[in-house]
Amino acid sequence: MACLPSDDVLGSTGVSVLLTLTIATTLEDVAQKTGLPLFRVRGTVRRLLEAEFTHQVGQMYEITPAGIEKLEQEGENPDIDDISL
Amino acid sequence: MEAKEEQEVGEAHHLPRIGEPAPDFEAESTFGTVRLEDFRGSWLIFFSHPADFTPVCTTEFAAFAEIQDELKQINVNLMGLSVDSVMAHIAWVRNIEEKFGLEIQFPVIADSDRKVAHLYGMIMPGESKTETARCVFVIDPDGILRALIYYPMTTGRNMQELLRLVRALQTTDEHTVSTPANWQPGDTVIVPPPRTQELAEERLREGYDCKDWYFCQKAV
Repeated sequence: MACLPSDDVLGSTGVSVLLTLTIATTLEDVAQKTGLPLFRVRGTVRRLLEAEFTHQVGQMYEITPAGIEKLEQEGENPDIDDISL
Repeated sequence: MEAKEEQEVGEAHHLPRIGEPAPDFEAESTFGTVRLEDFRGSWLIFFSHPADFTPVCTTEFAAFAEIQDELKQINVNLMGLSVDSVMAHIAWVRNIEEKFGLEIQFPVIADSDRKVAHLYGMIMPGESKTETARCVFVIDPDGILRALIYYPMTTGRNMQELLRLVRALQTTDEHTVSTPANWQPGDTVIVPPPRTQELAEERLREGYDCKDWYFCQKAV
């Protein structure tokens, strides 16, 4: 019953997860790198997939150009030289 | 119960069963949308409380917060639920942090349409037709329901018992044993009783601490 639509801000969790996905990574590795519990990584990556900020490559996940753009919008600077897009 | 009333509470009478997969769901929470499957690979203590900003529930959340680090050490996650909105949940956990100095590090589901509550039999119409009772579901890393506890709204739960319960189940899984009454970590455990005459005869020669062929204990 929101009187306003939710904004699409990533939040610190979304940013930290997305930053680990500049290289294709498994969810377990994301959990290890970010220190987040695996259940939280799963939920966050699901939302990033729905927003098309990441895509799945087999058992791994990787940032998309839209995801890079989103990070830049939020003031983050992903190291795009490492991105294998 | 009147027929119309029974129809309204409907699935409230269906309890999930021990030994069966815990019912799947997707729900809004203070951590965004969560699915039960997100917790595969870890144990989960999934619990409900009647209402945010109420005193007994607040003592319980504070108590859960005090054991959350210990639970993480033994690969156990926590997740709460009530029918209050996510905005109420956020306000309440912020209030708990401010007044009690405790950070709630687990998601709390906002089950406003009571979908999950009905799926898990959390509504006890004799107490309240709208609020969830104090229910606890212990779910293992494979998504199987292993234990359930139901407490009335008037009575706060005991965190040490929940810790003991999870540790007992983990010990059972690791060593294929059972745990006796009042078992605490470090105590001896029950060896599964033999199921044939031949094995019963052999049991007393296997070196366990036995009162009789069916009652043997060992250290783990």
